[in-house]
Amino acid sequence: MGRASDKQNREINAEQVQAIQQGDEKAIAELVRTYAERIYRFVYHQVGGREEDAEDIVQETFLAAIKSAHRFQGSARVSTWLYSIAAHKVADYHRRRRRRKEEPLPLLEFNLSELDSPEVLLEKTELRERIWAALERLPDHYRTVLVLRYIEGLTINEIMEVTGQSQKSVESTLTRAKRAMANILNLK
Amino acid sequence: MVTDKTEKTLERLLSLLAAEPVHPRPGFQARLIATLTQAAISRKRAWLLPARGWVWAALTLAILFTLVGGWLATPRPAITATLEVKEGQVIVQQTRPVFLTLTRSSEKTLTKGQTVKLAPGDRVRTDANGQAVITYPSGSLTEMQPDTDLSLLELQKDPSGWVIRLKVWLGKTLHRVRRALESFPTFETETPLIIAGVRGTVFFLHAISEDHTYLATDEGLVRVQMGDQAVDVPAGYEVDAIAGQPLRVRPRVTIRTAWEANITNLSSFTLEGNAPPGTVLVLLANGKEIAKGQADEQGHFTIQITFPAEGTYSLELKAVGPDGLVEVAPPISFTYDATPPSLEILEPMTTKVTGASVTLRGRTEPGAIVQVGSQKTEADAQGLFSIEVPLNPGTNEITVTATDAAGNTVTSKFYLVRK
Repeated sequence: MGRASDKQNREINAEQVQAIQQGDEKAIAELVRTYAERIYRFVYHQVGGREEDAEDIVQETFLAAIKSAHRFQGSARVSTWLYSIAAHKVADYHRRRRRRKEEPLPLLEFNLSELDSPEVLLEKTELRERIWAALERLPDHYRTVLVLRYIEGLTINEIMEVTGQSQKSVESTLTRAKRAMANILNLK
Repeated sequence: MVTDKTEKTLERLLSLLAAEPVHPRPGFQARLIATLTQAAISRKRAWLLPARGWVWAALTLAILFTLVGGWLATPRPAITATLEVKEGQVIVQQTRPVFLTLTRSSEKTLTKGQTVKLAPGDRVRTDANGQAVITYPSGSLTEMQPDTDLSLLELQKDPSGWVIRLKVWLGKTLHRVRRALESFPTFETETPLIIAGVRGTVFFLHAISEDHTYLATDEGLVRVQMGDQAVDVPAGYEVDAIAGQPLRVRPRVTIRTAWEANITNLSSFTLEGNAPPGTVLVLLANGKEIAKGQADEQGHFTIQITFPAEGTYSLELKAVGPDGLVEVAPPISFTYDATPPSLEILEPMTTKVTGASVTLRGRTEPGAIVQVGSQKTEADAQGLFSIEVPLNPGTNEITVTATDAAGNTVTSKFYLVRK
């Protein structure tokens, strides 16, 4: 937890958001430079590491943000606002994929006790794909909170801003999400 | 059951992903900035266009108002006449407003007993057997005879009374215009050649061709205009309007005496008819006056005609109205013939015959009707005839009668003995 660096914590203000809405190129460039990496990472781990798909979703997220910039309220952080939009875009993405009947990657059995061993670490690529596949099998709201919390390192309060849920609701969603993913991964 | 240990393991697994450096492909950010800038500029331009919700709402309202206003402003025929088909078939072409100046045209064929509402612009055609009556709200009528084509040009009520305008393209129409006590109706009937303007009258109009219209007034007065000429046609008078010729009103003379052919065996007879009251009628035979009469107050006249001798005459009836207007009917050829036809029996040549019937042959005037008992035949162009006569056993009295076109007869009687 707490992996967010200073750069990641940087936020642009509401005035800059208004400039974005007016088509200010500098403000748009600042928005992208400030948030594109974070949003990309948030998306990337939810789409099984498919770079092109992740980039498409990030672009859709920022386009939607510009379109709805006039509705942005200064009380919220721009990052949580963008995470919220991106979460919806990812959900849309998985809905489309389900319609196309693209099954997630098959899961493989592995031994948890080997996680610390060098062999497992060497096989990290395979391990990563299993985690991605498990994430893709989760319901959208479970996947969102898990990635926000344990990959993006957001606090419970920040997740509340993104999802619009209460603290209790976020915590219970996190707990159910972990159980669900543990079951998918066959963790004991 | 998921234990704390399991949860820790899961968190560790996810942190393995978090630890990995993840970056979009090179150039992605630059492309994204360009795409977003372009999109923002497009949106800014779109702002200037009527893309905002309130603009759409205003546009929708404007369209709605235009539609409703247009519908309300669309002229619709408030006053209509009724057409009823009396005989045959009638084709009605109608044009009705749909929206503002947009109209829809239709054509329907009506049969006897059917009715339809007529509005200005409608056109009606009767077929070869078609007859129809148009009744206007003012109570006036137009009777259409077969092969007549007319359009209703105007139908409205203004402060001075009803205004009805028709155009008779072709054919015969009789108009009965009702004059209301409190108003002065305008009833105009056009043909390709004339305009007939009337105020309370009954008149017959025959658009014979584009260059010829005949009009006869029964009641009231009709003002006929052809180009810059205008004449009044009073009751009992008529006019033939012919392009390029002066309009000339003349008494309308109707002969009521009927004869089957222009030939008679009577040396004198009475000619009866109608003409405007006071009209003097003179009958000329080969240019010489042979009889004279005058129409009484009811317009009725009788003329006693006596032929000076047998022969064929060229008869002309000259009518001089009380106002000096003269009508000379086209001359007709008329024959006074008081001489009975000849009759000669050619067969049988003997008085004694065999068989139940005999063929009687003979000669008389060409065209004469030959009758024997109930048997009848007509002599041919040479005057020859042939007729089969049944015979009884013994002596039969045969009576042959020949009657010519003038009604003169000749009879021949003889006996035949059936052996």
